[in-house]
Amino acid sequence: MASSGTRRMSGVRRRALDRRAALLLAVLVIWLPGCVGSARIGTPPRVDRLSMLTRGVSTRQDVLLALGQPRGDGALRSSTLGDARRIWFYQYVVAEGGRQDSMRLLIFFLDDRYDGHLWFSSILDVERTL
Amino acid sequence: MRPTSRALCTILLAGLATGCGTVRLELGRRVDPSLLESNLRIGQSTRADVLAALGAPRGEGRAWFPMDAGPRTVWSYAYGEAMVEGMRVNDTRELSVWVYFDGDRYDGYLWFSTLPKR
Repeated sequence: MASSGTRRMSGVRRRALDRRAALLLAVLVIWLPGCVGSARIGTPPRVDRLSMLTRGVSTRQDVLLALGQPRGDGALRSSTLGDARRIWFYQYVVAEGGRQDSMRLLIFFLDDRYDGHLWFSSILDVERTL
Repeated sequence: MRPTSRALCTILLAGLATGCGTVRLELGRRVDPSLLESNLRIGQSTRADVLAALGAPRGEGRAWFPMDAGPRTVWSYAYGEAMVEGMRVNDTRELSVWVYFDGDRYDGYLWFSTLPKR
């Protein structure tokens, strides 16, 4: 008797748990898509304004005016370069629909003067992005 | 509890734990770029010295820049972190370090980072 009662109780309990699980699944289905969205990190580096800068002449302030505040920094040093170059790093990342694209711009400084740049991007239509 | 019920509860609890709260995801290993100057000497240090200072690289390649006389071996180190809220990426930070070798000798570096300073 006791064994049958326990089985009956556990059956009732199991059905209650399954109902609860079904409810949780429904909540998940409704709740998860609300959290999914696109992401844009940083702002696209204004590579169209690099022409405003003159190598060996433009200062950090000029770079700031032309390109805005960098997201990071860095350095470059090589036996063939001589003095180390300080770097201002601009980064833009966009994630949308399972795809991630990015754009990176490095500005080199020698003695606090603009000394060149390097940029690369997986965003093919850069002009439209700016 | 049935395995299906247990699995659903686990999913929900994990979901609520991450939920729309912020979680930091990390990829790769963070190296300290200041070691490139403090622990290594261009033209003197070897690959073994770089290995001792920075650990094993994540990748390797070759580079020949216009100012260089010839191609050099490149070791690359990469680290990234993302702040995720729910299933949305709120912020990403990265550190890239490239170390150059002329033969077995340490010949320079390039690093750039958006990580907050330690």
